[in-house]
Amino acid sequence: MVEKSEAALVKLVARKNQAAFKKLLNMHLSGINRYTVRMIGNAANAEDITQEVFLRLWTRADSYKPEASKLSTWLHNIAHNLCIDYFRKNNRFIQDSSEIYETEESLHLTPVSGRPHGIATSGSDEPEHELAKKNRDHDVKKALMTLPERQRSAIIMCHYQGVSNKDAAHIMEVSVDALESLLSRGRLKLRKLLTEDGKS
Amino acid sequence: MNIQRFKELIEAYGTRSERWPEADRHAALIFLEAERDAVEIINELRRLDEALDADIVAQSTNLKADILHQISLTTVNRAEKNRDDLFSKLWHWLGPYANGSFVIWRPAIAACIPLLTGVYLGSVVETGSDDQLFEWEEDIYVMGLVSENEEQE
Repeated sequence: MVEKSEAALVKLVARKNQAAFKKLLNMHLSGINRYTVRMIGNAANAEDITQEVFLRLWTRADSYKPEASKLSTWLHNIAHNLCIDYFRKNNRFIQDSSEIYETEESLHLTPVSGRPHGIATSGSDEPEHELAKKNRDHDVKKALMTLPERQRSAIIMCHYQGVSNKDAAHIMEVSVDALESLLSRGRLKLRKLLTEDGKS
Repeated sequence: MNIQRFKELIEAYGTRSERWPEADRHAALIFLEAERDAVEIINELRRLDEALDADIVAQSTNLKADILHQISLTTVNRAEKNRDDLFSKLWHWLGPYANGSFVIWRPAIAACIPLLTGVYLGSVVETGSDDQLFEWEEDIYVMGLVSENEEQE
Protein backbone atom coordinates (compact mmCIF):
# COMPACT_ATOMS: atom_id res chain seq x y z
CA MET A 1 0.00 0.00 0.00
CA VAL A 2 2.76 2.42 1.04
CA GLU A 3 4.82 1.39 -1.99
CA LYS A 4 1.83 2.06 -4.29
CA SER A 5 1.28 5.53 -2.90
CA GLU A 6 5.02 6.21 -3.05
CA ALA A 7 5.09 5.15 -6.68
CA ALA A 8 2.20 7.54 -7.38
CA LEU A 9 4.08 10.35 -5.62
CA VAL A 10 7.23 9.62 -7.65
CA LYS A 11 5.16 9.85 -10.84
CA LEU A 12 4.00 13.29 -9.74
CA VAL A 13 7.59 14.28 -8.94
CA ALA A 14 8.55 13.27 -12.48
CA ARG A 15 6.01 15.90 -13.60
CA LYS A 16 7.76 18.40 -11.28
CA ASN A 17 5.10 18.46 -8.58
CA GLN A 18 6.77 20.11 -5.58
CA ALA A 19 4.10 19.05 -3.07
CA ALA A 20 4.67 15.38 -3.91
CA PHE A 21 8.42 15.91 -3.62
CA LYS A 22 7.98 17.50 -0.20
CA LYS A 23 5.99 14.48 0.99
CA LEU A 24 8.68 12.06 -0.16
CA LEU A 25 11.33 14.29 1.40
CA ASN A 26 9.52 14.12 4.75
CA MET A 27 9.32 10.34 4.48
CA HIS A 28 12.93 9.59 3.51
CA LEU A 29 15.20 12.50 4.40
CA SER A 30 16.17 11.51 7.93
CA GLY A 31 16.81 7.87 6.97
CA ILE A 32 19.02 8.70 4.00
CA ASN A 33 20.88 11.36 5.97
CA ARG A 34 21.59 8.91 8.79
CA TYR A 35 23.05 6.52 6.21
CA THR A 36 25.32 9.14 4.62
CA VAL A 37 26.49 10.58 7.97
CA ARG A 38 27.48 7.12 9.21
CA MET A 39 29.13 6.28 5.90
CA ILE A 40 31.10 9.52 5.49
CA GLY A 41 31.72 10.30 9.16
CA ASN A 42 31.52 14.04 8.49
CA ALA A 43 28.13 15.72 8.79
CA ALA A 44 28.81 18.58 6.35
CA ASN A 45 30.01 16.33 3.50
CA ALA A 46 27.30 13.80 4.27
CA GLU A 47 24.63 16.50 3.96
CA ASP A 48 26.00 17.46 0.54
CA ILE A 49 25.57 13.84 -0.54
CA THR A 50 22.06 13.68 0.97
CA GLN A 51 21.15 16.83 -0.99
CA GLU A 52 22.46 15.23 -4.16
CA VAL A 53 20.38 12.09 -3.53
CA PHE A 54 17.19 14.15 -3.37
CA LEU A 55 18.17 16.34 -6.30
CA ARG A 56 18.47 13.12 -8.30
CA LEU A 57 15.03 12.09 -7.11
CA TRP A 58 13.79 15.45 -8.44
CA THR A 59 15.60 15.31 -11.77
CA ARG A 60 15.49 11.57 -12.49
CA ALA A 61 12.22 10.45 -10.93
CA ASP A 62 11.10 9.07 -14.30
CA SER A 63 13.89 6.46 -14.16
CA TYR A 64 12.50 4.90 -10.93
CA LYS A 65 10.83 1.53 -11.58
CA PRO A 66 8.46 0.69 -8.70
CA GLU A 67 8.14 -2.92 -9.85
CA ALA A 68 11.93 -3.40 -9.52
CA SER A 69 12.52 -1.98 -6.04
CA LYS A 70 11.06 -0.02 -3.15
CA LEU A 71 11.73 3.72 -3.23
CA SER A 72 13.76 3.45 -0.05
CA THR A 73 16.02 0.85 -1.70
CA TRP A 74 16.36 3.04 -4.82
CA LEU A 75 17.37 6.03 -2.69
CA HIS A 76 19.81 3.94 -0.64
CA ASN A 77 21.30 2.70 -3.92
CA ILE A 78 21.91 6.29 -5.08
CA ALA A 79 23.30 7.25 -1.66
CA HIS A 80 25.61 4.22 -1.59
CA ASN A 81 26.99 4.97 -5.08
CA LEU A 82 27.51 8.66 -4.22
CA CYS A 83 29.38 7.68 -1.04
CA ILE A 84 31.62 5.31 -3.03
CA ASP A 85 32.26 8.13 -5.56
CA TYR A 86 33.08 10.45 -2.68
CA PHE A 87 35.67 8.01 -1.32
CA ARG A 88 37.18 7.54 -4.78
CA LYS A 89 37.44 11.27 -5.37
CA ASN A 90 38.95 11.84 -1.96
CA ASN A 91 41.14 8.76 -2.30
CA ARG A 92 40.32 7.64 1.22
CA PHE A 93 39.25 4.36 2.80
CA ILE A 94 39.55 2.52 -0.47
CA GLN A 95 42.07 0.10 0.93
CA ASP A 96 41.28 -1.99 3.95
CA SER A 97 41.83 0.51 6.72
CA SER A 98 42.19 -2.32 9.24
CA GLU A 99 45.90 -2.08 8.45
CA ILE A 100 45.88 1.42 9.89
CA TYR A 101 43.83 0.72 13.01
CA GLU A 102 44.86 -2.66 14.25
CA THR A 103 43.70 -2.61 17.86
CA GLU A 104 41.28 -0.76 20.06
CA GLU A 105 44.30 0.63 21.98
CA SER A 106 45.46 2.52 18.89
CA LEU A 107 41.97 4.03 18.63
CA HIS A 108 41.67 4.82 22.36
CA LEU A 109 38.25 3.22 22.52
CA THR A 110 36.57 2.20 25.76
CA PRO A 111 35.24 -1.34 25.63
CA VAL A 112 31.66 -1.93 26.73
CA SER A 113 31.40 -3.46 30.18
CA GLY A 114 28.60 -5.64 31.47
CA ARG A 115 26.14 -2.77 32.01
CA PRO A 116 23.98 -1.96 29.02
CA HIS A 117 24.18 1.60 27.68
CA GLY A 118 21.48 4.13 28.20
CA ILE A 119 20.56 2.91 31.70
CA ALA A 120 21.56 5.20 34.55
CA THR A 121 22.09 3.45 37.87
CA SER A 122 21.24 6.48 40.00
CA GLY A 123 20.46 10.17 39.67
CA SER A 124 23.79 11.19 41.21
CA ASP A 125 25.96 9.82 38.40
CA GLU A 126 23.84 11.28 35.60
CA PRO A 127 26.45 13.81 34.32
CA GLU A 128 29.10 11.08 34.26
CA HIS A 129 26.65 8.79 32.59
CA GLU A 130 25.88 11.44 29.96
CA LEU A 131 29.58 11.93 29.38
CA ALA A 132 30.10 8.19 29.13
CA LYS A 133 27.23 7.98 26.65
CA LYS A 134 28.73 10.77 24.54
CA ASN A 135 32.08 9.02 24.57
CA ARG A 136 30.37 5.78 23.61
CA ASP A 137 28.62 7.45 20.64
CA HIS A 138 31.95 8.85 19.57
CA ASP A 139 33.62 5.45 19.95
CA VAL A 140 31.01 3.74 17.78
CA LYS A 141 31.41 6.37 15.05
CA LYS A 142 35.17 6.05 15.23
CA ALA A 143 35.02 2.26 15.14
CA LEU A 144 32.64 2.28 12.17
CA MET A 145 35.03 4.53 10.27
CA THR A 146 37.85 2.02 10.67
CA LEU A 147 35.91 -0.56 8.65
CA PRO A 148 36.46 -0.91 4.91
CA GLU A 149 33.70 0.99 3.13
CA ARG A 150 31.85 -2.13 1.91
CA GLN A 151 31.73 -3.71 5.37
CA ARG A 152 30.62 -0.37 6.81
CA SER A 153 27.92 0.06 4.20
CA ALA A 154 26.62 -3.48 4.77
CA ILE A 155 26.44 -2.98 8.55
CA ILE A 156 24.80 0.44 8.29
CA MET A 157 22.17 -0.83 5.86
CA CYS A 158 21.32 -4.03 7.73
CA HIS A 159 21.74 -2.84 11.33
CA TYR A 160 20.63 0.79 11.27
CA GLN A 161 18.58 1.31 8.13
CA GLY A 162 16.37 -1.78 8.22
CA VAL A 163 17.25 -2.68 4.62
CA SER A 164 16.59 -6.38 3.95
CA ASN A 165 19.53 -8.65 3.18
CA LYS A 166 18.34 -9.14 -0.41
CA ASP A 167 17.96 -5.41 -1.02
CA ALA A 168 21.34 -4.67 0.59
CA ALA A 169 22.98 -7.35 -1.57
CA HIS A 170 21.29 -5.85 -4.65
CA ILE A 171 22.49 -2.33 -3.77
CA MET A 172 26.05 -3.54 -3.19
CA GLU A 173 25.93 -5.76 -6.30
CA VAL A 174 26.96 -8.90 -4.39
CA SER A 175 25.27 -12.21 -3.54
CA VAL A 176 23.45 -12.62 -0.22
CA ASP A 177 26.25 -15.00 0.90
CA ALA A 178 28.87 -12.36 0.10
CA LEU A 179 26.83 -9.78 2.02
CA GLU A 180 26.69 -12.09 5.05
CA SER A 181 30.46 -12.48 4.85
CA LEU A 182 30.93 -8.69 4.77
CA LEU A 183 28.59 -8.33 7.75
CA SER A 184 30.32 -11.06 9.80
CA ARG A 185 33.81 -9.68 9.19
CA GLY A 186 32.70 -6.15 9.94
CA ARG A 187 30.87 -7.08 13.11
CA LEU A 188 33.77 -9.21 14.31
CA LYS A 189 36.09 -6.24 14.00
CA LEU A 190 33.62 -3.93 15.73
CA ARG A 191 33.27 -6.45 18.52
CA LYS A 192 37.04 -6.44 19.00
CA LEU A 193 37.06 -2.65 19.10
CA LEU A 194 33.98 -1.95 21.16
CA THR A 195 33.45 -4.78 23.64
CA GLU A 196 35.49 -6.47 26.31
CA ASP A 197 34.27 -9.82 24.96
CA GLY A 198 36.03 -9.10 21.69
CA LYS A 199 39.39 -8.92 23.44
CA SER A 200 39.27 -12.50 24.65
CA MET B 1 18.25 -24.68 11.28
CA ASN B 2 21.29 -25.98 13.10
CA ILE B 3 23.78 -24.46 15.51
CA GLN B 4 26.23 -23.65 12.72
CA ARG B 5 23.66 -21.72 10.67
CA PHE B 6 22.29 -20.03 13.79
CA LYS B 7 25.77 -18.81 14.73
CA GLU B 8 26.36 -17.52 11.17
CA LEU B 9 23.04 -15.71 11.33
CA ILE B 10 23.82 -13.98 14.64
CA GLU B 11 27.36 -13.11 13.62
CA ALA B 12 26.08 -11.45 10.43
CA TYR B 13 22.77 -9.86 11.46
CA GLY B 14 23.12 -9.48 15.21
CA THR B 15 21.10 -10.68 18.16
CA ARG B 16 17.80 -8.89 17.50
CA SER B 17 15.33 -11.09 15.66
CA GLU B 18 13.75 -8.18 13.73
CA ARG B 19 17.05 -7.80 11.87
CA TRP B 20 17.26 -11.47 10.83
CA PRO B 21 16.37 -12.31 7.23
CA GLU B 22 12.69 -13.14 6.82
CA ALA B 23 13.50 -16.51 5.29
CA ASP B 24 15.39 -17.63 8.43
CA ARG B 25 13.59 -15.76 11.19
CA HIS B 26 10.86 -18.25 12.04
CA ALA B 27 13.19 -21.27 12.09
CA ALA B 28 15.80 -19.33 14.08
CA LEU B 29 13.26 -18.30 16.73
CA ILE B 30 12.07 -21.89 17.17
CA PHE B 31 15.69 -23.02 17.39
CA LEU B 32 16.42 -20.33 19.99
CA GLU B 33 13.55 -21.53 22.17
CA ALA B 34 14.67 -25.13 22.00
CA GLU B 35 18.46 -24.89 22.23
CA ARG B 36 20.44 -23.72 25.26
CA ASP B 37 23.56 -23.19 23.10
CA ALA B 38 21.62 -20.73 20.95
CA VAL B 39 20.80 -18.61 24.02
CA GLU B 40 24.49 -18.63 24.99
CA ILE B 41 25.45 -17.36 21.52
CA ILE B 42 22.93 -14.54 21.86
CA ASN B 43 24.21 -13.58 25.33
CA GLU B 44 27.79 -13.67 24.09
CA LEU B 45 27.18 -11.32 21.17
CA ARG B 46 24.50 -9.04 22.63
CA ARG B 47 26.89 -6.32 23.81
CA LEU B 48 27.93 -5.35 20.31
CA ASP B 49 24.30 -4.63 19.38
CA GLU B 50 23.91 -2.56 22.55
CA ALA B 51 27.02 -0.58 21.66
CA LEU B 52 25.88 -0.01 18.06
CA ASP B 53 22.39 1.01 19.18
CA ALA B 54 23.89 3.71 21.41
CA ASP B 55 25.05 5.60 18.33
CA ILE B 56 22.59 8.34 17.40
CA VAL B 57 22.84 10.68 14.41
CA ALA B 58 21.65 14.24 15.01
CA GLN B 59 19.40 15.58 12.26
CA SER B 60 20.34 18.85 10.60
CA THR B 61 17.61 21.46 10.92
CA ASN B 62 18.40 23.28 7.66
CA LEU B 63 18.83 20.31 5.37
CA LYS B 64 15.20 20.06 4.29
CA ALA B 65 14.95 23.79 3.55
CA ASP B 66 18.26 23.65 1.64
CA ILE B 67 17.02 20.81 -0.56
CA LEU B 68 13.71 22.56 -1.29
CA HIS B 69 15.63 25.74 -2.16
CA GLN B 70 17.91 23.75 -4.46
CA ILE B 71 15.04 22.17 -6.38
CA SER B 72 13.29 25.52 -6.82
CA LEU B 73 16.56 26.89 -8.24
CA THR B 74 16.81 23.89 -10.54
CA THR B 75 13.28 24.52 -11.81
CA VAL B 76 13.96 28.23 -12.48
CA ASN B 77 17.32 27.48 -14.12
CA ARG B 78 15.74 24.86 -16.35
CA ALA B 79 12.99 27.27 -17.52
CA GLU B 80 15.60 29.97 -18.22
CA LYS B 81 17.82 27.50 -20.02
CA ASN B 82 14.94 26.33 -22.23
CA ARG B 83 14.03 29.92 -23.08
CA ASP B 84 17.66 30.81 -23.81
CA ASP B 85 18.06 27.68 -25.92
CA LEU B 86 15.05 28.57 -28.06
CA PHE B 87 16.19 32.18 -28.52
CA SER B 88 19.79 31.25 -29.36
CA LYS B 89 18.61 28.55 -31.81
CA LEU B 90 16.45 31.10 -33.62
CA TRP B 91 19.25 33.67 -33.59
CA HIS B 92 21.75 31.20 -35.05
CA TRP B 93 19.25 30.06 -37.68
CA LEU B 94 18.71 33.64 -38.81
CA GLY B 95 22.43 34.45 -38.95
CA PRO B 96 24.17 34.42 -42.36
CA TYR B 97 26.79 31.88 -41.26
CA ALA B 98 25.50 28.32 -40.97
CA ASN B 99 27.94 25.43 -40.47
CA GLY B 100 30.84 27.65 -41.50
CA SER B 101 29.38 28.71 -44.90
CA PHE B 102 27.72 31.95 -45.91
CA VAL B 103 23.94 31.56 -46.40
CA ILE B 104 22.13 34.70 -47.56
CA TRP B 105 18.55 33.48 -47.83
CA ARG B 106 18.01 33.14 -44.06
CA PRO B 107 18.77 36.79 -43.17
CA ALA B 108 16.91 37.79 -46.35
CA ILE B 109 13.83 35.96 -45.10
CA ALA B 110 14.27 37.62 -41.72
CA ALA B 111 14.45 41.06 -43.35
CA CYS B 112 11.32 40.35 -45.46
CA ILE B 113 9.24 39.35 -42.45
CA PRO B 114 8.37 42.97 -41.37
CA LEU B 115 7.60 43.91 -45.04
CA LEU B 116 5.34 40.89 -45.53
CA THR B 117 3.66 41.58 -42.20
CA GLY B 118 2.95 45.17 -43.26
CA VAL B 119 1.47 44.08 -46.61
CA TYR B 120 -0.69 41.50 -44.88
CA LEU B 121 -1.97 43.95 -42.24
CA GLY B 122 -2.63 46.57 -44.94
CA SER B 123 -4.80 44.14 -46.90
CA VAL B 124 -6.71 42.80 -43.92
CA VAL B 125 -7.34 45.73 -41.55
CA GLU B 126 -10.17 48.14 -42.62
CA THR B 127 -9.36 51.84 -42.30
CA GLY B 128 -12.92 53.07 -43.23
CA SER B 129 -14.26 54.33 -46.66
CA ASP B 130 -14.08 57.90 -48.14
CA ASP B 131 -17.92 58.24 -47.97
CA GLN B 132 -17.86 57.69 -44.22
CA LEU B 133 -15.14 60.35 -43.81
CA PHE B 134 -17.22 62.82 -45.90
CA GLU B 135 -20.35 62.17 -43.77
CA TRP B 136 -18.36 62.88 -40.56
CA GLU B 137 -17.04 66.15 -42.00
CA GLU B 138 -20.61 67.20 -43.00
CA ASP B 139 -21.94 66.44 -39.51
CA ILE B 140 -19.20 68.50 -37.87
CA TYR B 141 -19.92 71.44 -40.26
CA VAL B 142 -23.70 71.35 -39.48
CA MET B 143 -23.03 71.20 -35.72
CA GLY B 144 -20.72 74.22 -36.12
CA LEU B 145 -23.46 76.23 -37.94
CA VAL B 146 -26.08 75.36 -35.31
CA SER B 147 -23.88 76.50 -32.43
CA GLU B 148 -23.04 79.76 -34.33
CA ASN B 149 -26.79 80.54 -34.81
CA GLU B 150 -27.49 79.89 -31.12
CA GLU B 151 -24.77 82.35 -30.12
CA GLN B 152 -26.22 85.10 -32.45
CA GLU B 153 -29.73 84.70 -30.97
